[in-house]
Amino acid sequence: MYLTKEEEEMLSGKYGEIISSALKVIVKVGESLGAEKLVEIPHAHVSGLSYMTIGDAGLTFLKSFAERGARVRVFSTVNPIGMDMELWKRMGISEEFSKKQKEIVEAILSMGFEPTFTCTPYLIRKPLFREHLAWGESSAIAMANTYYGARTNREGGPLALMSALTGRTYYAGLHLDENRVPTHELILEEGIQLNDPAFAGALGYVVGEKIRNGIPLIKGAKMSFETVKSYTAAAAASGDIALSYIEGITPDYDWAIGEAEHLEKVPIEKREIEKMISLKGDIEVDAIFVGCPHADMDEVLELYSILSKCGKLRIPIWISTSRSTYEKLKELGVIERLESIGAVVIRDTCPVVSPLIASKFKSVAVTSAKGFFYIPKMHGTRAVIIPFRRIGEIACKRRR
Amino acid sequence: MQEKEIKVKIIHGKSAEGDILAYPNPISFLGEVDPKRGVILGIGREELSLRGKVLIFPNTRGSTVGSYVLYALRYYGNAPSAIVVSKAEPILIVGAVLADIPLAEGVDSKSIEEASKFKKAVLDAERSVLRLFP
Repeated sequence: MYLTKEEEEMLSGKYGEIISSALKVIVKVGESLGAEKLVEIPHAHVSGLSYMTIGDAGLTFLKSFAERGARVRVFSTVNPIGMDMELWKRMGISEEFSKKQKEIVEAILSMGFEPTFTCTPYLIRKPLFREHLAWGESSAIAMANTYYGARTNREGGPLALMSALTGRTYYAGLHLDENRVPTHELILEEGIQLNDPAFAGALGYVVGEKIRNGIPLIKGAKMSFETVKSYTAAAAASGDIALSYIEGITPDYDWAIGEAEHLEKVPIEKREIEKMISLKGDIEVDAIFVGCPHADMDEVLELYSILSKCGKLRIPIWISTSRSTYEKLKELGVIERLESIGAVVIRDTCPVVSPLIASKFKSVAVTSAKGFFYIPKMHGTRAVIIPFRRIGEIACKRRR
Repeated sequence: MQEKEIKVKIIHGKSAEGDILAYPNPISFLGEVDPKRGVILGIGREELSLRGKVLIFPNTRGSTVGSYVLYALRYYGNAPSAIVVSKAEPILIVGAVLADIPLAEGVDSKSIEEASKFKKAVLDAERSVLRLFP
């Protein structure tokens, strides 16, 4: 593999043994994937920091690296952890879990990571067109590639961490034009509605299951930031879809059309999407979850306007968001108002990576098809998908 | 039984040796390996010690947390002396480099089965061969 002079020096130990070993990891993985060189990255995003998912092995690793003086070399953000750093008791998190989770947080912050704890790092730093990134978190990767036209492979937590420490990733996979050519074209049946995140997520879920591993192209769908976010998250959960081309959304859509020689047509029926979503107004669940991926300002404000018309909630709504969004909402008085009607806003975590759901709820409704995919698998909890815009009808107390 | 040599591709590390632990199935380090005790839950759920062994198996599967498990094996002094697989995936490469466990690929399923009949192995990094001894 070709290495620059600086990279040679990093490898030889001039910048210390941590950098040397971190770069060696990237070089070895790159070589095995046929990379000819490394590329510099301005932003690393590291996933896999919940004690629930990485356990003592992950904690041991992170602590040991932190103690040996590991420091990030580029702007680096981190994914949600297993609990809200302040509200963990209310979430039903045990003392033992919280102690271990805090040790993980201490280790990563001592390495210089930004305390973002969100799966929406693109809202912290907007990826630039054709910029190289090294990100973990499948939903964020798919947004970076699809919505922003940036370039990142699906990195596991440890590899993204090595990129954070070195500012480099291997030049293979989705960093190369040749691996970004669309492979499938979705043929959406007339009448498929994609204006609600729940429906767009259901489309992503179906696409992930049907295509598994490929690059779909979607012509003529009217999608927004919110619906693309929901679609990409689901397609990256039920399948390995890290990049889609969406007309009017993906910046290099025209390039993709020009490159595509043979696109396998994948018909999507209206019925396939609709059968995933519960349209009943009187469903009985223990809680409703919003914010997978983390709810942004617009989403919470829209939800707030829906809920402000009802009094106390019949079913509690749990909203997960980033701490940066939480702070802004708090200043606006939205958090207080939502809490007063029976909603709970949590930050730093989400229902997928926290023990919250398993410990508190037997059945939940979600607006996210990604959540629908993971919650039963990880917690054994029953989940149904409901439309975002119908939360009011379902959650509010009926006036008789 | 005669000594045997298998051509392999060295991915990481120097020459190493140890008793053979040949495992016929893919391994998910997260879930199947306990790094603190240095054991893998084998077929029939009996525990097999990894410490100091030349671990030979087809490939890794499962969560990327597996890389951390390999590192934890080293941290607790329970690392195998070398790992030889059919095909090395990123999760394994990351873990092996971080834990500084010599890693090679290129054994097929027939050689894995054969290796289980030998006692000791030497991974020769200079010559890129895995030598099996009865």
